[in-house]
Amino acid sequence: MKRQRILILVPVIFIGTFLIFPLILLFSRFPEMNFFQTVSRNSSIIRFTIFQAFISAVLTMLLGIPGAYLLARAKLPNSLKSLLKAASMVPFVLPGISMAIGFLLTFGNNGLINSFLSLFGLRFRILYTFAAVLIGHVFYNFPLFIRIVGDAFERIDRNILEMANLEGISRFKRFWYIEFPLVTPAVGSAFALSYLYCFTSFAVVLILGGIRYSTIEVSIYMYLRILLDFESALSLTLFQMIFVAIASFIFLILSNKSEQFFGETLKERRPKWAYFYIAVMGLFVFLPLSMASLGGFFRYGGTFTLENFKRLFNQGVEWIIGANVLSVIVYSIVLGSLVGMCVCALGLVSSYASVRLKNSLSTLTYLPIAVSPATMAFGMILFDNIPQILKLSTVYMLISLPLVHNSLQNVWRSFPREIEEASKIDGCNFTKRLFRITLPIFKRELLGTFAFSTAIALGEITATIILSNGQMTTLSVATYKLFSTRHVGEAQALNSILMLVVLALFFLSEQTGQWS
Amino acid sequence: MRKLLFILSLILTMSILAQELVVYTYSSFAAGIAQKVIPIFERQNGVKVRVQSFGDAGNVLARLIIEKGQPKADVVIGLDQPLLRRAISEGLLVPFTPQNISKVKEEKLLDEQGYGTPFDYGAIALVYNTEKIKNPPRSFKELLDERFRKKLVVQDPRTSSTGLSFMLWTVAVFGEDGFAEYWKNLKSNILTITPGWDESFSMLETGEADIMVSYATDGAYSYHEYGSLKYLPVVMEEGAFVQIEYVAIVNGSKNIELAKKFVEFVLSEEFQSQVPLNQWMYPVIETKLPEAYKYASQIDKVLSFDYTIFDQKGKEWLEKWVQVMIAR
Repeated sequence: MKRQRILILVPVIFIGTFLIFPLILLFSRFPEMNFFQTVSRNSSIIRFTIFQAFISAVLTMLLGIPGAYLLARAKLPNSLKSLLKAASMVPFVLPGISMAIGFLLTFGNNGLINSFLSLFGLRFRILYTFAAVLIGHVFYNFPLFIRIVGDAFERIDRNILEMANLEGISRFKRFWYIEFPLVTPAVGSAFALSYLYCFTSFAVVLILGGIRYSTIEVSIYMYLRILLDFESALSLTLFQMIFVAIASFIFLILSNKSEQFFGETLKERRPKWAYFYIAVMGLFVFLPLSMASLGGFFRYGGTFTLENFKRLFNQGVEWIIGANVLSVIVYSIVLGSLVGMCVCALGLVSSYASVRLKNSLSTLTYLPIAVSPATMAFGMILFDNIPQILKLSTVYMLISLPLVHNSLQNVWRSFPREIEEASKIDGCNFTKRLFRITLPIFKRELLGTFAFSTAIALGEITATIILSNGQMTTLSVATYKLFSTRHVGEAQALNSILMLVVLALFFLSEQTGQWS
Repeated sequence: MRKLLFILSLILTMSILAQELVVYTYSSFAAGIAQKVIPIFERQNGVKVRVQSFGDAGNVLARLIIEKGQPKADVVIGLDQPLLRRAISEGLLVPFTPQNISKVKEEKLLDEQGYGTPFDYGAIALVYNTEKIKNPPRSFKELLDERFRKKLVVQDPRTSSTGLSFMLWTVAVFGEDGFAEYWKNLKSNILTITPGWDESFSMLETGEADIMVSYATDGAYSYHEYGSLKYLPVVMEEGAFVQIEYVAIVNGSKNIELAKKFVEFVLSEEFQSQVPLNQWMYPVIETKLPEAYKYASQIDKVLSFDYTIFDQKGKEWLEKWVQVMIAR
């Protein structure tokens, strides 16, 4: 046990070195902070940010839990389930521009829904309202519940539930008294994450909400990138960090229970409300998502075309990207997978340490959410003597760590300590335990988080363009280069490819996870 | 073997002797025009140029500010008027005027502080969908007209350089006391505000909006690239708001002589002739414009704008803008 405590240091050192230290460098480079003045200037934006995040997270939770339940427990063909799960993860790595296109084509004035409604002489203004902000946030954060809470539902031992069924209690009572308490910690994690992601939301609020809504992250962007007022940007970053630390600490106290209910999943018949639910989610999540992935198939002007893909692959734009499209895709996937593996290893250690050794550690792992990638990148510039590729990789790792840590944390919570201890008594050494026990039990979550962090590395733009000097070309940098030279169609085609790669990645990870 | 060693050592000494010029710029410059003109400069001077880009021009200046004291760049290219002013006041540049400065066609394009040399200029314009709008707004006053209700999409000046330019355009026209009032009236014609140019453009493309804030050369661009005249620019008759981009030498550069040669090169015919179809901006020396430019807006009347006031008041104006737009 004593020796194990060293494990706590792993996440502490990682976050200390690659998040806190670069920030300290930035703070000392721009020491004239005006914390209180900046916060009070932005007070109305801050209030709105806190408020909209709460409403968004509650709504996401209400819509997310039934979905998590359905995907985890209802009898569905495996490949369909993998596809749904995979598709629900794509929004997380969707660039703002694809999201915008997806929502415009679905909910816009000339979008699918309004074209359909106009057949009946109806027309709704959905976009540019507060409701649109909420829809956008549900769209983005829904996957958190599918993944984290869904995994918890799957781990509930079928024996407990079958026993309850034998006792003859109703399905609702069983859910309320047995299942819900068992998944509360997972619901807590998912809620905390989606609250914090909505809190630092940026593109959704601006694009979908229209002119009246704005978040702290928008102000940070203004100070940092438009006014080059580092002092004010850092003040608001500090504010966000304090807020995130306090909020995640509260979530920790509220949801900190360690339940052990590890067992085989009970598969059940689909409940009646499932069809209604699927229809609603299809409308709000899968429809915009499919429209977003179609961005590349539109001509400058609006009709369907394959022209963009032709232009992309016919070497017409190779000189702009600086490399062949195929090699960019391969390079990005290799870099992304390396990052994915590292962050999985880190997450496994940090989640173990926080569940078994020190609970408050998870507050630390939430901190990267509070620091925007641009700020991270500017801090990294001051961090001399480490290679560029390491700077970039650690930024990707920091961005995915909160989610990776949280998903794995819930597995440790439901992982019976006895198995661990028994294996130790039996004289299993560390490697043997890792490969024979831990990895098999964590297989599904590890594959999922691997896919997630790889996708983050593929899709991240802001920090990548600041840190890569334009010399290294990942998929996202290539897209940016195309957009910035006004090759909009080709850029959208490349975006569609990025989304397909991400979808395939999640699909494969789901499929592999199901083999036992 | 000996021959090989000799060649290797020759290459090695050459690469040590050969100077390397480090140029900081934004991404579209590096991915576009740089590919065409940098090899020419390298050949002419027998040197190597390393072009580094960091996204947009704001990022480039941020990089220079952060690296102040130990600059890694010799030359910075692509800062516009407000960014150049800021770079000068931060002490990031050294003053330099090239010998061929007289080639610049308009005195107004010059940096009066003597640090930056202009290499191109352009203007913000409203770009409209010709299939939906037959009668585009000709002036800011006309833009307030009922018939453009919820048809306009603009970029957020807090997150986008075109958005900021558009806001400053209204300041230039209505003055710092009057611009907020104008936005208050404009609000009902604005469909939404996007964080960047890309999203606005996608709204035009999907038929969501009919007019967006963009560049005066957009018509030329869509004609040249797609043979389409669906989107055309219009510059408000109150006068154009002109963006000028400069090249300058970084304070602390160890390659001053070479950097000076580079600045001279920027005003050469070889460089300037590549400007129109790569940068989609106007060249600063007298040179023949490509045919597509007949669909670019003419910039006749240029509004003057005092960027010294922007330095002091920029933040205040943005906050005023936020108040007007976000107020319920």
